[in-house]
Amino acid sequence: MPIQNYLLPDHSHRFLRLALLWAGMILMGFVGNAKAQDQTLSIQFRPTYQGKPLLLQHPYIIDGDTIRISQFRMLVGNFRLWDQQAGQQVAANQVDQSYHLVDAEDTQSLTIPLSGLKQGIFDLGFTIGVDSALSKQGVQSGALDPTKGMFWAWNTGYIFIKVEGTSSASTARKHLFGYHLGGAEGPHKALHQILLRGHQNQLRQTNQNQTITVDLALDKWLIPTLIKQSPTIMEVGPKGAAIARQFANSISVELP
Amino acid sequence: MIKSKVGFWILSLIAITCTQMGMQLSHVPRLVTKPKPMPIVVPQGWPKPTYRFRDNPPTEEGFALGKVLFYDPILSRDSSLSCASCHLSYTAFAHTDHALSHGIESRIGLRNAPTLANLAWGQRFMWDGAVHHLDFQALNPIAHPDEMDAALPQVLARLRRQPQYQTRFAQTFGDTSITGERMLKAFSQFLVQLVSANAKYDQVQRQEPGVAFTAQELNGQALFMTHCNSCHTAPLFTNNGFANNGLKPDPELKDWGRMGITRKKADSLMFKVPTLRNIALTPPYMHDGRFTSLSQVLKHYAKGIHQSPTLDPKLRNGLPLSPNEQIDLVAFLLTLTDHQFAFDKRFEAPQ
Repeated sequence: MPIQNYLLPDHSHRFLRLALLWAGMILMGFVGNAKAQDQTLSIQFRPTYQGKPLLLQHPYIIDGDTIRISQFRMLVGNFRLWDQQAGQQVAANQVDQSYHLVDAEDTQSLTIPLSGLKQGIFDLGFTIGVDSALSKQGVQSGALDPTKGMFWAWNTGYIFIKVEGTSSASTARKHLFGYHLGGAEGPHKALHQILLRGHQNQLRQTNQNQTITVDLALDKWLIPTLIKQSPTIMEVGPKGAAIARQFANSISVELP
Repeated sequence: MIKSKVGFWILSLIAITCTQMGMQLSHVPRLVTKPKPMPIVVPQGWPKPTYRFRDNPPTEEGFALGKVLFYDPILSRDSSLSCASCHLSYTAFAHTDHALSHGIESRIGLRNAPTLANLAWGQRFMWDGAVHHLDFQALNPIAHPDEMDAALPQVLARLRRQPQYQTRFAQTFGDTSITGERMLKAFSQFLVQLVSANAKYDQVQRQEPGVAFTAQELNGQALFMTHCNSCHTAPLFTNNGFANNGLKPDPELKDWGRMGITRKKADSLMFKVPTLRNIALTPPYMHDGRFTSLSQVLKHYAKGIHQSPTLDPKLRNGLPLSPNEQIDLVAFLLTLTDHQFAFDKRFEAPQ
């Protein structure tokens, strides 16, 4: 009870005491549930192209071809941390079990705060995509609401990664390209577990609130050669699985 | 001194009370009565429903909301069609007389709109089994360009603008928030209530007084059990599986059925085995509505089988049904009509 600390022994400071009490009460009222000793670690996803943060609709030139990305979205979830000193995984429910819709158009959605963490060096793990067991449980809320554009109605399942745009390299109508990648199981699954190792990357939770930037280098795979070969991939299959693999491999963490 | 102490504690108490109230007020849900549970009654002798009611417990309010959605044309892009346009309650929620159903601007779809009944026992939905959970089913007709062709965020925005929906969503889910999840759960709450289990067949099974099969129906039943029941398994009259039943592919439609979903050759020309309940109310028949009568259907099984690699082995030589046996079999199929279901006031368009 922080209030007690403010109660002064000298009764002559009545007004000051009351003012402090009021302030304390109000403070307690608003931050009553927060645990003072917890820090927040924020994971900030940063889609990049040609080494810089992605600009939607920006004409990127590669090998004489223009690529404009109009949309980048992905579903991530199941954030886990392993405390290296203790050699144990921080319980998943202490980190974040929910799914998040990361959308380049919505800056807020790029940052995912994880709270309730202890200090230490850790490995960070998360999943790109949605566990098949969950999609079999019926309709979900929040990021997994199937009306949010990350769902295949014609073949029940979540789209994990969605990238759309136009390119001079595309032979499709209006030079469009689009990659809707998904598939939670089977030989062509696009579900990927990402593990970013603390000892290499010096991921460290200090007593400060901290942001870890996770770079998604789209230019590692979204290049004119791909767009020429397959301007649109919108179903589970070998081509989509190959891109999802490249996407997973392109993820890196910037040193703090 | 004592006075000041008392004053201090009174003020403190007020402070605490105010702060606590202030805290609570922001969390007080809208005062709505709790929705009334509306559990599904499993007919005697039926298997356990596949729908997980604990994830979406059916209530009277949810059923009413789902029904209003089912009959509301604002779910289509140009507000011209509702789900009920192709799923009429009086014909067991099928689209009678339409081989292929038409969507907005009279666009013709690829397949025949199926009957809706006993969906709580369904495992896969659509003729190709594209949908593996009832909750997701409504997304298809709403979003499909040849059906209602609507953008889902647009549909939700329309619903949010209507006070009626704000009230109904609050009554069902506790607050006025209208999300895709809630819309789809409401649909399921309506759809799982469409239980058809009071055909003559059912009454005979239950040995109700004064109900009995005729000799022709009895013979039809015996033939059915021999030749049809392995796929159209009683009491649901479907095994919830997929089969190639020897229909020659329509060169214009180029519909390969389940292979379109699984991309497996073994699933070429496989279509979902439909229920035969209320079959007399739901012509035309087959995924493309090619047969207009049950006698045509039985002629197909007896003499019209098209051979192809994925053909169901039991149909390789056609079903050995004489013309008279076919007539008896039709007589049995007519006993699967549940008039009470088709004319159930609860399922009719809301007033």
